[in-house]
Amino acid sequence: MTTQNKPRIGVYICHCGMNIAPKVDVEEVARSIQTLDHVTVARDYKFMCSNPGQDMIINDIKELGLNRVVVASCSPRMHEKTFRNAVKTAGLNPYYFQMANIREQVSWVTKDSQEATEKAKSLVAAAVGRVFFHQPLETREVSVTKSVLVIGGGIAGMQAALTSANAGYEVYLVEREPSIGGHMAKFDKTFPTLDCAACIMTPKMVDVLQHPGITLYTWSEVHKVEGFIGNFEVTIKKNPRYVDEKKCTGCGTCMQKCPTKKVVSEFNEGLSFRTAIYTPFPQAVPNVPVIDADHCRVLGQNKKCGVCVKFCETKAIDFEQKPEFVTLTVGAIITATGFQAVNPSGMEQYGYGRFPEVYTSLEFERLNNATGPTSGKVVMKNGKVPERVAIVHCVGSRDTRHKKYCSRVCCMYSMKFAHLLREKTGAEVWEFYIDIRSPGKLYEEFYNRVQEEGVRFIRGRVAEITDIVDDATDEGRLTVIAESTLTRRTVRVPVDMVVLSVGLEPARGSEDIGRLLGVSRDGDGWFNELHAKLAPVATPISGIFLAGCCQGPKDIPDTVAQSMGAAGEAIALLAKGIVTTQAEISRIDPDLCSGCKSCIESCSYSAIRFDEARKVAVVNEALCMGCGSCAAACPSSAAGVKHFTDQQVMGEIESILL
Amino acid sequence: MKICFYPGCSFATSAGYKESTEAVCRKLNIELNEIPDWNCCGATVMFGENKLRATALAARHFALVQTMGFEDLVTGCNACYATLRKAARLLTEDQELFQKTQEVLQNLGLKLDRIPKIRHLLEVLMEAMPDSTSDRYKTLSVGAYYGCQLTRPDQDLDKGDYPEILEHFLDRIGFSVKEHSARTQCCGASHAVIYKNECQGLSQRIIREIANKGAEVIATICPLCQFNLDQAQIQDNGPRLPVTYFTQLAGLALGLAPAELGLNKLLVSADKVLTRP
Repeated sequence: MTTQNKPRIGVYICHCGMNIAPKVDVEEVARSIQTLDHVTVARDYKFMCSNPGQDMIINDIKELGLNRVVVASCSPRMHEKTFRNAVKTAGLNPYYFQMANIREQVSWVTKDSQEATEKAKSLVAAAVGRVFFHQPLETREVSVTKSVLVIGGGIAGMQAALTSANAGYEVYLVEREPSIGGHMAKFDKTFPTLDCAACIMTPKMVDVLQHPGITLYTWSEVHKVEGFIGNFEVTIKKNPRYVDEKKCTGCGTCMQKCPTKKVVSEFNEGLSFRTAIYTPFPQAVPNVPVIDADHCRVLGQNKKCGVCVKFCETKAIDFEQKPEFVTLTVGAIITATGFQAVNPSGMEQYGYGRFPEVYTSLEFERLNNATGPTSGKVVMKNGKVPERVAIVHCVGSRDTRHKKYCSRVCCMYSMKFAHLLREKTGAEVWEFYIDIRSPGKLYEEFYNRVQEEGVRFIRGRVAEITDIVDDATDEGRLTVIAESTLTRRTVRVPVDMVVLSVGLEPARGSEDIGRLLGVSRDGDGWFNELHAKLAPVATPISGIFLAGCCQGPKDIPDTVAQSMGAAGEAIALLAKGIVTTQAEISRIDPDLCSGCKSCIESCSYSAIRFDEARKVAVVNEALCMGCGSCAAACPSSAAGVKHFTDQQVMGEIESILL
Repeated sequence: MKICFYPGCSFATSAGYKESTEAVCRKLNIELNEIPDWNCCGATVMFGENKLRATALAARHFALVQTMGFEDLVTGCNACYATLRKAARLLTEDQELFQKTQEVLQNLGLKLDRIPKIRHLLEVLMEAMPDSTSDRYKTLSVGAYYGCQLTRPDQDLDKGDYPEILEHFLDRIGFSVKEHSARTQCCGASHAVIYKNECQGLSQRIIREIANKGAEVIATICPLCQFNLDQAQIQDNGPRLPVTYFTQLAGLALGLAPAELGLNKLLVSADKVLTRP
């Protein structure tokens, strides 16, 4: 350290309104820190992150000649960037800054005020001890590939793809099913306006297909993701469709002629059958069938068949197709992997699977749908129209045995079902609920509307659904038993049909996607956003954004809004065209390196290569993420991470201990 | 095989449970070692009265099982099973309660070092009974009745509301099983003594459901269930279904004589269904 760079440290203790003070005696902390070596000034202030707070730092740097700054406030995740920028504005290298977290780590978690103040003093002293050894660091700018990968082709992914493509960027949309459309394609009407889902959905699907900026990969999966913000290297696995997309005209003859007709239809939630060569529904996009290899006589059972081959006029059937891998470079990734419905099979009290007239909400959606197994007629398995129907809310949601959270959409879709049932069948409808949650535009009005339509509401969780006959009128029906918590009486309602309003959980496979992308998931399995309020579509991994239910249960309006938001973030990144690489990366001292290559093996980002001429390991600064694995692996202390040098870390620890 | 057996208060006096259990165990070479000088399990009431006493009542048996050199404790009564398991769980979870219970045991000259695994007789016979090789009872349709306490509140033996273990057992030893929806419905339990009229209705509801689904015989695994379901039919004009213990059906499957299994003690006679060719 040169004398002209003799440390002059400014320390700023934030009150954070009422968050840090009065639990921590901030004035006492400032007084105590003021006495430390090299501390030129120590002040406390109500909100350091505010404009006047930042100005205070900038002025002190200029007027008092500070060359190091410590702010003791919240988590660095919250405001490290803010203060680094302030330091930079004043003309200092932004890495001459250190933050002490005395909110999350002190005031919020410590009961005793004196103890909190002492702990705050230690942490601030540690930051002072560390910043003393800080070195100026430089970031670099890297250009961004102007394309986006969207994972998932439900309404969230479709909207994110369309918005990004409309801004003029190249979009790759990957969907693992044979068609895009997701869950929304299965719905009949949508609450609260009762728009026909197909009428608003199918044109969007066609837009996605026809958009010149969107490349669609259906029946495909994301196989590998490497690189970082601005330049992700993505490998997509195209599963064999056994139908040549270029040759197929979508005439549908193969599906009519396929002799394997008894495969359970996933799209119709098991309520009907499909053929082995199929499109999930008539409006599928692309309108190109796939062959289900497990059920196909040729592919799955090694039998002679080939009926589809015989009838296909364009010779599009190709049993020889193999998985195909496509590698792309994209600047941003939008994850829209959605949800799946909770399976109520384990909840024996509802009898799902045992009683044929107990349906899940998705099954009921299909029963209601014009393209569904009954062409939209709500009838029981015996073909009769139900006279009385029970709808059971919160199946799997708000239940400590299953999902603790509210799935947000069930109250509203349950009331949509009630309305459709009243309209289509005139059946008496009983809704069994815990609370009605209708917080949305026109939602409460919809609740009022179905009440006026004569739907009965019983506030009480259903205890049991049984086929035990207690009365002659129960014969052939199911009895729903619940406690009405408003009248404090047990209610027993014999019904013809029961709909279980099942909750939402993360889609199958989202754990794998999370692992591929490095995006963490919360305790319930939903992807973590960067900040619950201020960064709801970003993830902790720069350049990866979230859209729709993969981040948590959402209805269609919220999903579409969030998808546009995620696309907006991606567009902002691509439009700027450059990203700044982080400065805290690894450095390998060639004089100390013995060429053992331990670091190369330890690096998860393939960011270290071996220089054969000099026989030393060299870090690729564009790829290094600064994780520190190499520093830990290096036996000769040649590898280290900038901004986390031994000296800096020891300085921090010593200040706590001394 | 040797097992340490806790009969509980209703075992010896119930309609053929003792006879059939002993006969079946003899046939299968299972040695029943009854806990000497056993006491009341406390049933469901004691935990509401006094937690320490309830735990101590059970823990005395745990200590005795240990002195007998057994790892497991087997009972044939759902109330005993649930109560002993609850005590075992509390002793594992609550260190303070464990210490206090230990003091009580010390006064009795006992010491508790390990808590035995509590098992229902059904689990033991599930393992020991051979698969059926005869078609003799294939046309006899049985409805399995579990009562409330085998799988609740703990559900580690089977599913809570819709268990199937007894159906699997009956099917394996050669009976035809009828699925029904009353398998864990309440029989009224000990309330049948005080609230007779209300409980009659509960038991009759179970009988009617099992009869509606086409069963001719009921299999039970708990003395109180058996008694409640059996006596409820006497004062009812509804269907008449013999209410047997699963051990009695196991005995028949093993070729033992009905009289040896105490089947003559049932209030609703089993003769008509059991003595057919």
